[in-house]
Amino acid sequence: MNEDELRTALEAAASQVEPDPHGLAKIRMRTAARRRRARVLWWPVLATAAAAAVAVAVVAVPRHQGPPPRPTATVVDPVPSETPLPQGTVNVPVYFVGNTGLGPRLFREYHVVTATPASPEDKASVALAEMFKSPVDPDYRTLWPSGATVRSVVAQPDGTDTVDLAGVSGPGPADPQLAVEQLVWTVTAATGRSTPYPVRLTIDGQPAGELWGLWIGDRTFTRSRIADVRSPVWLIDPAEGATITAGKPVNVYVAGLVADGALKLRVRQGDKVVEDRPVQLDHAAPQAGEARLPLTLSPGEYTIEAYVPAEDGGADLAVDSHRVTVR
Amino acid sequence: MTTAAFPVMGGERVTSVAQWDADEAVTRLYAAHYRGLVRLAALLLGDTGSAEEAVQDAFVAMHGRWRGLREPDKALAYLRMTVVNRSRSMLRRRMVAARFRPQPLPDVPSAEHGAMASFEHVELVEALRRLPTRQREALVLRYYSDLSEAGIAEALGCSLGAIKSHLSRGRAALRRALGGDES
Repeated sequence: MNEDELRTALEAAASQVEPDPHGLAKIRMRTAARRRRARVLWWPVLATAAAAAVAVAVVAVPRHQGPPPRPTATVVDPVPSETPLPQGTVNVPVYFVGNTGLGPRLFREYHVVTATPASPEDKASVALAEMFKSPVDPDYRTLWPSGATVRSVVAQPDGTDTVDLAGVSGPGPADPQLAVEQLVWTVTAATGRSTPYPVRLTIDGQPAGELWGLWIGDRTFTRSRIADVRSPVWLIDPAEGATITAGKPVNVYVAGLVADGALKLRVRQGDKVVEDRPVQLDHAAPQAGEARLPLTLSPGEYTIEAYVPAEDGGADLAVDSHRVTVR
Repeated sequence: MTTAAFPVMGGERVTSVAQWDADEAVTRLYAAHYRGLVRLAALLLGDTGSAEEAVQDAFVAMHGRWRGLREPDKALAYLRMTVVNRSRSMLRRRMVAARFRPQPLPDVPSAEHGAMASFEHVELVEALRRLPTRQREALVLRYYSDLSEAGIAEALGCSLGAIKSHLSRGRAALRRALGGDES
């Protein structure tokens, strides 16, 4: 046996070996378990029945100019205020896309839906059905076509969730990858599974080839880094269209990932700015931080804006604004 | 924007390697090298199940060290070295276990699901398995992974002279085992 024959024989022997396709999921489960120890917890704010509304802003400003960013801890999604839900309804997280100075990014809304999901996968189905509809906030949009529906979400034994879609065969968004991020963030937020949790896509019950030019195949999709896909600012609560009781302090709760942990909160009444103050988060990038501050408003219509000011004094880097009514 | 690091293969969203985080490094290197590394480990170990375990261990270890590696080439070298080391310690454990349990090893190729099924290759794999560890590692890295002798020396932490010797003895032993001529 000469060298070439040995090469050929080893290659032939090796080619008999086909790894199990779930290797990546198994590795991910182990690396995620490692990281879970370093995870930052976000505590829900306890709000009394109708008294206090709570604002949460999440700021994730990537700073690619400096040294390469260090991997950041996985952050559990910040949770908005807990208010009692009517029986037979469920509050589901839904991701949408909005514009920022960094390009289109993910924003999140919570939607109260009449449904009683029996499992995390059912809850993900409910959330996806909402994602295919319109957001409450007119500043957001969904990247998914109007005919899209979810057929099922099934947890697989290999530690992935398979999402089966229908109605996506037509023309798709300009950024299919961000559309997939929108879906992955929604599914993993609704199931509450720790990130990075892998999601597979099938279409009409069949393995998908391409979706709008994006190769799907047997790929697993996980959430990209917060700094890369999420909006630099989120204003979660008071949600768009919320009603706030006059004369009582609103507990504004902001959280984020921003350089120096510095963002700002602005309140407008029409064109008039009635409040504009800096907010110092408890952590600066690359760590996510948060802050709480009270805000008291007299009756009227307001726009509350959490924003990251531009460094050079130009247009804000990113804003998340919600219109609220105080009475 | 679109510097976003989407952790899947395909390069739709171009991210420079320096911006890969550990998760993305795992995903990319997995897509490019997982199968090859499992096959390498299978040649060293003789069965696919243990081979996958060794390679998954290596990826988990690489994930933890990504900040120090930062480059795919370095990461691949690290993965390969870790796979060889893991395989070696697995074999050592088996030897110890076999001493107390004198029956066929549980990883006999024909008995293992997913093992090297084809009979014609079983002979070669069996012959490899009977070689001293270093000779087997040197042969597999040279003729399967296509490393240079210097690369093997680095991966195994041996001198170049030792590698040359392992290779020539290993080749000779294989020839004898497979009934080829001795030339």
